[in-house]
Amino acid sequence: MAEHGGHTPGTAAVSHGAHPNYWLIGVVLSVLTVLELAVTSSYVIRLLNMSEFVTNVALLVFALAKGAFVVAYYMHLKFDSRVYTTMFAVGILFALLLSTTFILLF
Amino acid sequence: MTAQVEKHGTTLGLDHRKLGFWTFLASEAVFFMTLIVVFIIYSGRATEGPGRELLNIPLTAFNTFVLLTSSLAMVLTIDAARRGNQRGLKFWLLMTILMGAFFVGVQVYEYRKLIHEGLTFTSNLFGMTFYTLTGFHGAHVTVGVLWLIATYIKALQGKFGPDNYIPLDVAGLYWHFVDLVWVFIFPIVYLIRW
Repeated sequence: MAEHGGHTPGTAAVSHGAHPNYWLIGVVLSVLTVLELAVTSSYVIRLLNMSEFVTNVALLVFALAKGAFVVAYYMHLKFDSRVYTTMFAVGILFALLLSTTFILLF
Repeated sequence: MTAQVEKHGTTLGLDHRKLGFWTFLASEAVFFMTLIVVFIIYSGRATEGPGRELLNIPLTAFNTFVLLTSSLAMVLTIDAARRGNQRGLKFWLLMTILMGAFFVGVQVYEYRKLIHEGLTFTSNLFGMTFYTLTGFHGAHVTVGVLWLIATYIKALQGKFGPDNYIPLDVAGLYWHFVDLVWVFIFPIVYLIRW
């Protein structure tokens, strides 16, 4: 059989047969973006008495959540082979080490 | 095992095009993370000249929605290919291309406006880091749009289907990656006060 879903037969990787509700993921990403805009609005900041630090942390948390949804569901890492996840994770880890070094140096 | 599997398989039992592309994306993650950190470090040190107060947040927020929606259109393209739905494949791929082109168009409009208002690459550290980071991202989106146009031409020739959607999958990975990078650029550049 021809390749299907990027895996040769007999591999442990999960095929693309399993997939989430993409529309729902799209709605979740949109809602998270609305929340990002909301926590930066002066009305919400006054209403919740949010400090700049709390606002910034909330923004980073929303961004991380959106990123996780994109990687896991749109890029299929949740359903694909762990090898792909490992490959990407190594890059992210190296990027974090490099970033930490930059921040410490400058 | 068919010739195609032998041609595209690896000793790990995975398609080498996807494995190679994930490796490329890992290196791209390092590239963009470095640019983001440089922006964070230097943008706050720009004490003179125009700064983030010139940025049009409502317009960029709308553009963010467009890019996120284009990612949704891309997964629907691949889903249609897997199901053998040629009409859906072509429709959603065209939508992805149009939304990607729109994103780039808005970015060009934003740049023209900012330059007109005095924020240039050489204005200060904010201008330099802002244009470097968003410019490289915009260039990646432009490459993605060109790639998707080439893919669309192949789709019109009926070259994708349930047994051959990996080229679409790889193009999708690239497209989602530029979306992923923007997911972080938007709050870090436009919303957070460093």
